Amino acid sequence: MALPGYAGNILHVDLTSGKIRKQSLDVDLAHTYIGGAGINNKLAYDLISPDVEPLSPQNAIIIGTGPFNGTMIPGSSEVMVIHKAPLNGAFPHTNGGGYFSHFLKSSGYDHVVISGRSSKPVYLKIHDDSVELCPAAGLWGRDVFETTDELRKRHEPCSVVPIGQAGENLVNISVTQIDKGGTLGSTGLCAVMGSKNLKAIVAMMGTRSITVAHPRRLRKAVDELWGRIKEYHLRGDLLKGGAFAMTASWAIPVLAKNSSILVPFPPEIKELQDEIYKLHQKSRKKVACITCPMCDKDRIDLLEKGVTTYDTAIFAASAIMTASTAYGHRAGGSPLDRYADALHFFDVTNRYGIDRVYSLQGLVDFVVTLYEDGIITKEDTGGIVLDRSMDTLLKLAEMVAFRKDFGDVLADGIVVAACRIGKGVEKYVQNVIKGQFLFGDPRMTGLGPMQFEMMVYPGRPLGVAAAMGAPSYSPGWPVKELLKQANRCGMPEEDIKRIYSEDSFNVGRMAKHGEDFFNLFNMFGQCHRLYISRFYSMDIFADLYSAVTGVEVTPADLKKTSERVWNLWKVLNCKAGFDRKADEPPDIWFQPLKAPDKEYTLKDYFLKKELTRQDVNGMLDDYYDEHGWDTKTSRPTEKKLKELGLGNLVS
Amino acid sequence: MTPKKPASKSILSKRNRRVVADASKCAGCMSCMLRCSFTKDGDFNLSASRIQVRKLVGKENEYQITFSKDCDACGVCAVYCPYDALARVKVEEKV
Repeated sequence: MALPGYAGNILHVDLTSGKIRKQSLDVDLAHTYIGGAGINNKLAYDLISPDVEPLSPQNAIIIGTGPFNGTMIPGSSEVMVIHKAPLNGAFPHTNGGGYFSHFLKSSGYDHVVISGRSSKPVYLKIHDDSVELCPAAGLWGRDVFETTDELRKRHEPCSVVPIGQAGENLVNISVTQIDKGGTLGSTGLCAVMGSKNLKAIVAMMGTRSITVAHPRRLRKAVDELWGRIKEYHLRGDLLKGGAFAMTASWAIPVLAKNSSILVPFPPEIKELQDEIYKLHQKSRKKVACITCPMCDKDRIDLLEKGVTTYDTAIFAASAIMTASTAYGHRAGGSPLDRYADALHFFDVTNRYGIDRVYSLQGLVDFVVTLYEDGIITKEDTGGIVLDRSMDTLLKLAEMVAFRKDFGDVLADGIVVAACRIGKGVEKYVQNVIKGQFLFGDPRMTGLGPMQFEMMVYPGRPLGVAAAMGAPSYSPGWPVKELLKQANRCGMPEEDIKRIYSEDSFNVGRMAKHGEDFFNLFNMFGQCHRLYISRFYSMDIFADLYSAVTGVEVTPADLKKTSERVWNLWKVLNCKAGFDRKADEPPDIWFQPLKAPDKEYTLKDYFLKKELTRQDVNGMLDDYYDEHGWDTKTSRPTEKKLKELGLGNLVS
Repeated sequence: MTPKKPASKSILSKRNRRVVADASKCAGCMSCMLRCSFTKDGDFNLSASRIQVRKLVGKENEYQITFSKDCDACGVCAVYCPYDALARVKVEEKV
């Protein structure tokens, strides 16, 4: 009988030998580390050498679910994956929704460890005790959506994690979508799968049950959540417009963030956004991940233009950015034409499996700017002209996916591309930390909790999510709103008094407590997205976890377990070279961002105080100190590791 | 009066209730399936749920909703459907 909340097994798949082994999940392991991110971290620490070559057979893909996956807890859809990332050499977590986490557990597995390299293309099919490596020759070369469709024809009901052509060609800025909706793997998971000749992972709906320790208590807690969710005043908008509805208010401020040069917006930008939103609502079919009452995934049928696609969530910023001539390589014409072009671009990149948001768009801006400034010419690009047309955007996407000509230069991300191009182009690299573009330029947004978290987190999407809820998405919220977040995150009163004042707060110290809370989403298998994560608090998590597993915990217990998981993961990343130096801010932050009418300089969250490099380094000092880490190296101290029961990691 | 055969998209309860499905409103979250198995069996088992939601292959984002013969139309699936795709209705007497 499995531990309540767990399926009870870890599946080990060695692609080199074809051996498949089932291992019982150790109860102590589950209690000490908890679920998806927790046990994943421990497995990664034990099974992957920190200096392994990411695309070698020795790297492993570790997939994890948490104790809430498989239950009716709203938003319990996320599966967590860790591996050594080829994009930057770190061990970031990546997560995605769809059905995968629940279906995997329905076959009796909490985690899957995939190692080695198959001699031929295969896909892994999991159905109860039937776990097979199936030939994938006929699937190789097909895109993310085609592969999903074909595997669903063969194995429905099932959930599919495929790779597209980018993953097959070991493109490090690759990404995929689970079940054509849940983005997964933005630091190169698909390249790792491609290096292993693993075309897809298919979890069929199995026949195993997930038990819970206290069903009545769980029902009561979920019913209370459900009542609050139904009453949420923005839920109606969300159901109509998806993520676009929730992000429209900050679309335009976000618009300019990744640009290397701030281009002024045309006066009609707001009107354009409104028109596109109307088209979006009209053409959208809502799609939900399992257990999600918010359905932010998008299936779009823009009938007027015959364009159909899926997306993990079309954010307003993303749509407008792509459809606007103001910011890069965008379409012209009517709102309908522009939106159709944007959707086409989304479709192409989603099918190839290229990370558009955190890599490709910024990368294309980078090389077009180099071309415009005469730093690179047709001789460097293999004969193609780089301009700000949609044609260039599509052409480069294809070249990257297949590593054709100049695409090969770009396929491993902006840092590698800058090295390959040479000619001193590093100075054109904007807002890149640990190999990925930031979700915004802090010279415009202020250096708040989200921007700080992106500095210290070795991936991106979870780095965004690990910040302190809604106020972290835009600057200048009043401190009382931030205090609400602190309370829900389970910050002790004495810490709140120390970290917050009437009109300010300490970003570095606060970030540590945000991590303690938001890491629990990764451990339990919960979705981070604002409009579902907003219903959870440390108290609610403690109640749900106790109800599901039968292990009575207090919010303080959970906070400490989360810290243990985060520290183990930090040690692993430090061993891979991600210590303080990797967290330091890019030089470009301390130079003004020029616009025709003004210059933007780095400021605090309230956009009032100018920040110097010394100030930002001070934030890092505070962050490490709050964690109990060495401020010189960022490594967890011996005292801290022992306090968390990780004394065996002391080196 | 009850129908002679339960339709594939509805089921009749002993108390003259049935659950009717409007698959066009379904977003595929499977909350109904999880609630069903939890209510009837005390644990979570997607395969054992009396209501089954399937994404149709080849017809993008169209769903099929069916009920097994064990369904007693208790309506828990309808209560917790976030998208109003399910409703528990009273079977009207034929005049």
